[in-house]
Amino acid sequence: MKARTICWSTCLGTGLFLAASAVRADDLQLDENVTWSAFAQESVIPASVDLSIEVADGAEIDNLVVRFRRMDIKLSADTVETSVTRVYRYGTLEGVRDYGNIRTYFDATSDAVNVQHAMVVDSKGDIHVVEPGTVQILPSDTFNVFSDSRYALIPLKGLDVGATAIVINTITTDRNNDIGPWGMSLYEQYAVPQERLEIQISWTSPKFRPEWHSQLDNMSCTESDRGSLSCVATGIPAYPTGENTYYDDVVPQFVVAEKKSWADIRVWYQRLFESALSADGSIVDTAARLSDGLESETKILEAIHNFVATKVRYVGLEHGDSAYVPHPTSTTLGRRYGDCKDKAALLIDLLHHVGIEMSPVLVSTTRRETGKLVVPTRNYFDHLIVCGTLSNGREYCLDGTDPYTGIESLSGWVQGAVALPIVGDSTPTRLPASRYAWVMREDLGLTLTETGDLQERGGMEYGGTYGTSIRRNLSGLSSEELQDWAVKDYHGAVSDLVDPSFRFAGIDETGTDLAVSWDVMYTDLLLPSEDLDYSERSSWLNQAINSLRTENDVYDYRYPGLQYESVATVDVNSIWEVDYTGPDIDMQSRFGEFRRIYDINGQTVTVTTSFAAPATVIKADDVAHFNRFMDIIQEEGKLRVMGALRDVD
Amino acid sequence: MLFLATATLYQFVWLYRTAEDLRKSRDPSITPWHWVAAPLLGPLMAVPAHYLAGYLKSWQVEEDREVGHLAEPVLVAMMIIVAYLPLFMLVVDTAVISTTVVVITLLLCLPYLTLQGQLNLNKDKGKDQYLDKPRSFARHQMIGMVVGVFLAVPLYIYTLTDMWERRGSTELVEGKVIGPEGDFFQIRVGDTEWTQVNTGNLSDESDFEFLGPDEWTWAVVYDSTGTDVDDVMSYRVENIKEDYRSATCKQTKTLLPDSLIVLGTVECTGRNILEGSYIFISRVLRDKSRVVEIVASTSQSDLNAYEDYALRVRSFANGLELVQ
Repeated sequence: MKARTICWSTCLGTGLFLAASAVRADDLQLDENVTWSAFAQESVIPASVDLSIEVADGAEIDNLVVRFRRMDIKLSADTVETSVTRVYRYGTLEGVRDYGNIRTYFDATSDAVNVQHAMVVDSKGDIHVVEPGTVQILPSDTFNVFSDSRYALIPLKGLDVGATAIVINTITTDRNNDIGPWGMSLYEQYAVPQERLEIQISWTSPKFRPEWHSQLDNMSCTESDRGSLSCVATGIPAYPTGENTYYDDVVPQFVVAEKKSWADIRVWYQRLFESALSADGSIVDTAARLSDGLESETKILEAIHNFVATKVRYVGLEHGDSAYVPHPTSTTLGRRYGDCKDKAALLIDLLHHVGIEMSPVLVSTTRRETGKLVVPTRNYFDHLIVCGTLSNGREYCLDGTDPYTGIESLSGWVQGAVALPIVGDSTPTRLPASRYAWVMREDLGLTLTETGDLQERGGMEYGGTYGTSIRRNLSGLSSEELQDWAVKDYHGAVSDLVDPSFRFAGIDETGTDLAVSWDVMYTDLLLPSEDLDYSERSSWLNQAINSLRTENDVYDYRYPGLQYESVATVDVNSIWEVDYTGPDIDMQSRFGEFRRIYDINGQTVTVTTSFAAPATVIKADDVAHFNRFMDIIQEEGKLRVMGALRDVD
Repeated sequence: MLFLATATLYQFVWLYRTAEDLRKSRDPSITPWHWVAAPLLGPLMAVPAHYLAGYLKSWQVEEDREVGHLAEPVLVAMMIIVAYLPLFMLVVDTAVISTTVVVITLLLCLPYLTLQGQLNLNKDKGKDQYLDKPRSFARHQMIGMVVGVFLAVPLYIYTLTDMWERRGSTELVEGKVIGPEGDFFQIRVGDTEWTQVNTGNLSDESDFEFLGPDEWTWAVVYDSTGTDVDDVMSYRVENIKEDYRSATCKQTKTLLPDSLIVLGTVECTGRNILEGSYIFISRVLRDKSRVVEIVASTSQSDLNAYEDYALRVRSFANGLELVQ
């Protein structure tokens, strides 16, 4: 095969990088956690090593290739020192644009970061050292997720196509400052290809020997008697991307953690959590006030959950110990704000004082597969909710940070998530998930007038987590904004020929479904002088199906479930006599069922439709069939009424 | 249609000539051209036919001659009504093929029976009373009758034979699979009493045609692309109700078990005087953009036979399947 060669003027030699070094006096302190010593202007890549690559003619050039990645972890009694070396080659302008900033993650409570080298060798061989003043330290957490994780954003300088970037840093974890058992996980596979991945772990004493697990097929690991582990993998392809995917479930990860059992993790967190519960009078009084006059446990549960979810606002307080330890419940109550841990603790404390016992549950919001949690570590979990069983035997799981979901179902974003209940002898499990995350009920009245107009009276009720998400979007909007939202939604789903007038109900009530209703008139839609042939798409069902269909054929699809019920009446007026309706439908497949019945009563045709496709995991190789089923529902779901023109006499 | 036209023309000629002879020999006030219009009256033609036959009868009696077998006026009138009845039913509610045969047969009998008397009369008249021309016409009419009736019968038989030949008559055996090679559908035969016939016998647009155990039991297959199942079903209902207005139709749409093949089913049933009970079954299968339809039907006057044949029709229609 004819080949051409892309060659840099400088080359990289593995094993010659500087080892992690202690912070020196002349280092620049960028942040309380981050120091900078990457001032060297000379290349750290010795010229003796050839880093040229051969690209076959016509072969696609990757935007970015990780030429080399090495994690060197040293475990001792007081510290965990991790040296990270990354060498990237930029193959395209797109690669330069998308991957030109390097991120280094760390825990702000326990980690000290030192950046030793951060430079670019451009396509001409010139060296560009990153300016430390351009580095930003940013929080990495997202809403409702507890952690004290941050990252240093390092913008590479002088990048061009063909350039090589080298970033070397150390992360030193002070185990005395660490709130719990140490552990870490890293993606072994990236969205870009890697040529070589090395993971080296060493420990100073057998008692510090960690537990580890690699999920990468071609990772080769060797453990020595002298307290070290050496793992190497080469030629690692990029992992494929696909929508609706929990990447923590599907991308191979290397997990290493202090040797602990799930019981150890439970006991550790139980101790932290219980420290926040208080017998403060304000808790007792509030619990009594909220439950006053309520007879059933469910009513009390609903009242207290509603109080915590809606009257105590969410504020993330995740620095230091607060990353895991809730604030005292009396403090949270007094402040009327808190994060997920604070709200969970307050919920449990208030409920405890009215005789309802519930327990905290650690949640991994980005995982749905318990089988992937091979090594017990706290690092998987990033959220906290509460679960418990009432005396009626029914289990409830409540997310105190969700003011839009009632007690009848768990917040949609954590349904089915991997969780560790901090109770009994629990091990990682999955949180309950609704059979149907999308619940829709439609009531449609269509009247055909003598002049050929169509009068439409419509109503939609949204339930399940779908209803909750709409309620969340609509909450706080003005009447005008609500109208605009509904009109746009109607235009997208039904028709943009008209602007209906909408009414709303249940936006601020978590115990009821959200209801939207409207009236609208389509003028000159039919010819009253001819026989009637009227057909109507199931627009709202089609809109839902469009959202639930997936193009992902790489990974299994966690389909959330859709239930749709509709009653449509078509009044054809006295000028037509109904002589034909579409066929009754009874379609059943392994994905769900679709039913429709027509009932003619004089000049009115009632069309009753139901669609039910429960939540399930669709295997990647079955996604095409699933999409085909959804296509069929859309294509065959048209309702039809035909009528003969009555004699005028 | 050829026989129908011949027989109809025959009526016009017979009426004109008979009326013309009567005008010349009996009543100059008779206007033959008025009588020509009689067939246009449909079943009401029985009235002038009865009048004309009665005129001939009375003439025979007055002459007191033995003129052979002269048709009774009442019989002629009834023949006219019976002849027009199927034609009337054809318009209202009936199947095309079998009724056409009935109509042709009756119309062929009519001129023979009615002309017989006139021919006998003319043959026995003397020169003093009648002109040569009518006699000559009678002779020619006899020839015409022979050509039109006796030659028509072989032609009729020939046509039926030809029709069967054109059907192809491929006997089907149980388990035989019929269908375009490598295509997406096939018909699996479960009943041995069916015959595959050439396309064009039962429908102009079919892809496969079959005859059942009798002439009134048949099936037709249509293959199309990009057609909506609902459109096929509504068209089929409309198509059936055009000929069978009192038919009761039921439509359902399902998925074939363990598949994503859409199955639309139309079933129309009813009963009429000529055919007895009838059933039409349409099965429409759709896989993405391909649609194939089988329409199968039978009609039976005997209710027990109908149940049996309906079962066969249903079974044959169920033999349509998609190749996965």
